[in-house]
Amino acid sequence: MAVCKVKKVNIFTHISLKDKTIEELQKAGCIQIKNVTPKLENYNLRDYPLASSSELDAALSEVKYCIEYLANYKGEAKKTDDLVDYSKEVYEYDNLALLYAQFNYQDIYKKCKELDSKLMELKSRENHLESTKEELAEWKDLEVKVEDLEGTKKVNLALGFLPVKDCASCLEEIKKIGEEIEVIKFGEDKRRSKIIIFSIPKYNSSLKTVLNKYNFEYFKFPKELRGTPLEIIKDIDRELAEIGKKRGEITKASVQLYKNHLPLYLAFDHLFISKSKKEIEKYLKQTQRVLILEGWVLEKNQDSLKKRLEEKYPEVEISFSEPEENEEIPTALNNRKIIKPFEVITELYGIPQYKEIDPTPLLAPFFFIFFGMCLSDAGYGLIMALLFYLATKKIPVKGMAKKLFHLLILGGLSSFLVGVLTGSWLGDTLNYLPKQILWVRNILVDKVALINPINDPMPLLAFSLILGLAQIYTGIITKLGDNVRNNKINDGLMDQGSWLLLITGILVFLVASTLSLSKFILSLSQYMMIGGVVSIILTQGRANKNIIKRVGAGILALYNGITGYLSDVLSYSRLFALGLATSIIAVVINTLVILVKDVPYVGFILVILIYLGGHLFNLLISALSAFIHSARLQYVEFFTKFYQGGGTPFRPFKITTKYLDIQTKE
Amino acid sequence: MITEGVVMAFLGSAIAIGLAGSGSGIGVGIAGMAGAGVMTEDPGKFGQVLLLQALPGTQGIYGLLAGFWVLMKIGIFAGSPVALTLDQGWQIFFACLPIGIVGFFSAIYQGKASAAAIGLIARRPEETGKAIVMPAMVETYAVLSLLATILLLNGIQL
Repeated sequence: MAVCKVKKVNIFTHISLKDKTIEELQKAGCIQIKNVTPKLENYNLRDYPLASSSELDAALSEVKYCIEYLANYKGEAKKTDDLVDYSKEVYEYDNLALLYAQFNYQDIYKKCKELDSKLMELKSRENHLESTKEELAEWKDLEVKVEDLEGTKKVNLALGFLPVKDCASCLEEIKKIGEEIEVIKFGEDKRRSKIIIFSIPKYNSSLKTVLNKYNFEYFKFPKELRGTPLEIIKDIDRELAEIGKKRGEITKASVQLYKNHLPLYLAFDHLFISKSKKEIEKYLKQTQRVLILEGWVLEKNQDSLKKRLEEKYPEVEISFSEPEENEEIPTALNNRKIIKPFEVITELYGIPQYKEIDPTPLLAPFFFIFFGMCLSDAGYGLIMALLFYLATKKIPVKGMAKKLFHLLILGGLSSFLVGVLTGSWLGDTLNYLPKQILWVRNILVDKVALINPINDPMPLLAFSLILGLAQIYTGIITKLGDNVRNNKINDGLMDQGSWLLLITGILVFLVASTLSLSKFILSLSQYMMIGGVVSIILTQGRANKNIIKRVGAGILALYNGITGYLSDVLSYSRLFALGLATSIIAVVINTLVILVKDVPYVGFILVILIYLGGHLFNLLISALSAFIHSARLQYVEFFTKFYQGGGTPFRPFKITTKYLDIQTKE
Repeated sequence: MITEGVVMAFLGSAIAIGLAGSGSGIGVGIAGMAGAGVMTEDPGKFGQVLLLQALPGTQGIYGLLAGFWVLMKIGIFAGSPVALTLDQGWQIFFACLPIGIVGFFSAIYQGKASAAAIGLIARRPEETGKAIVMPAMVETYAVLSLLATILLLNGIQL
């Protein structure tokens, strides 16, 4: 069983040792801390009083703000000089607090804030100037100072726009109002005309009615402006240039600050670690002087944890106990190195509950073969395995991503093997080798390869179905074993035993009748089938009290079961179909390449484009379906026979950081 | 030589490529609309969304594959096509129907399932694995119809 054994751990410590104990536990990183389950009533256990963490939160968000603000200048900073990539350096856990204390992030925060707000100010001033400039641009031919356009006591002045199509009739109507009105049409574009109207106050109201009727848009220069529009525009341009300069200064200052980002990373990670320690406090319980802490620990870490704590703090008492039945125990998987990558498949579905078996070792060999059969090309497999091997060397990946990369390396190897056996090397590329090295093809395709699925598809189809049968058998037998292990032998015999009997009977019968084996085996298989059918009909409805209902339910179960198993097995034909699809698409690509080979002038370029692009595309699409369909066969056809999933993962309290690697002195 | 049989084979090839491709087009479109909606909220999900959007695209590839196989089988690329009888032409035509018809409909419904799955990862990004399995269930039938087409084509004697 590859689900790790979990023990419950209780730690008792003096209240004054609280911080040190929590720190030690974080360094050990092997306990998932949970709420304390009170064993004794009336023991006067109190919740540990929670201190407010708002100060910590504020500091964390301030540091985060600095990091995010300065990140905008990363590109700029890189241009000017070579920056050290600090994220690769490793820091000592115990030094963090000291380094943090030495470094005053507040200064940087203040500077960032100042620069940021200045930048905002400039930005809004710039927007304002630009929109003013745009408005003024329409009146730039007006050679009058804008302050003179206010009008006088006796004369009113109105500037604005009229829709072009109404312009003439509007002007007509304005003229009718009175003689003391002067209208100047100042210019027009496609949509509207610019108009200036001089009038005397007595016409105000009638003028307004006319103008409103024609949707006259009043325009007023902003009050604070002085000078002719053209002069003002020049002023604005000058100020804009100034703003650009100021911006440059801010950028320079920010780039300078960015060089300080390492201490910011340190501060962030330090605060983050402190916060995670603080969060543990909500699980604590205390008496007058003793602090109690409870959690889950993997059995294999039990001794080292005890030793570690007792050596450092002899006052600390630590005890282990078996988890109780009704508790929700977290699950941790533990598989051998070669099986480990396949945990991805299990994790995607849902990890096992604590009492369940881990399906990973069972599905691993099947997934390996399935993936290879779906991708089924030696060239693609080799490319994929190499790419992901290099990726694991170059990119530091952890956790799930690391397992996935390893899984894809294995998948590539499997495809390579299947490709060698079916003689598929980037489709039928080998056929087009030059005459001198055509012997490579002859060896690989004629000697090494066992079958050619394009010409002779049946054996591979049959093999797919046999694999399916094998996996379904594995599933049923696993469930049978599981039932036996949980002392449910009767259930096991009735539910799984009778189906095994029936399916085996059918198989033996099919094999015996096609190979015309001896009468004895034939009749034995018939008895097995009859036995299986009878036992299914009699037992599968056993939840019903009524005998007729019971038999009815049994017959229904027989029907559902037979159709179910049949469709399960047929479902594995996808292995063959997807494998063939990969090879045929590859052949199609090669055929296209041959077709364009003789195109004049660009033929060579087309050949390279289609060959590389086509095969890359095929690799991507086929690998995607290979992964999805191989996983689906596990989930839908295999897991349904014995597996539930839905466990909660074991998440120990440990040092988690965002930017730096932290180590502990050991 | 172009005989009536060859014309029927062309029709079959066209149906396999055309119908399955149209279905994929519609399906990828449906999934794409849902994906674009999700990405207005969180552009960081581009990778997962693209993966889910690509799922209904496989039917078009299966159709292309079947259509090409017909063309290769009747020797279009080798120069001149085999002089098929009308009977043989009809056989090829019918062999192309499974992937054409099933490809068309399954791609559309896979597109809808993908769109729903994209909605799922919008809210619960940690369940991407399960979200991918849902539309992949629809694909089963496209794979089976491709299998049928391949086996039928393989059985036709020229």
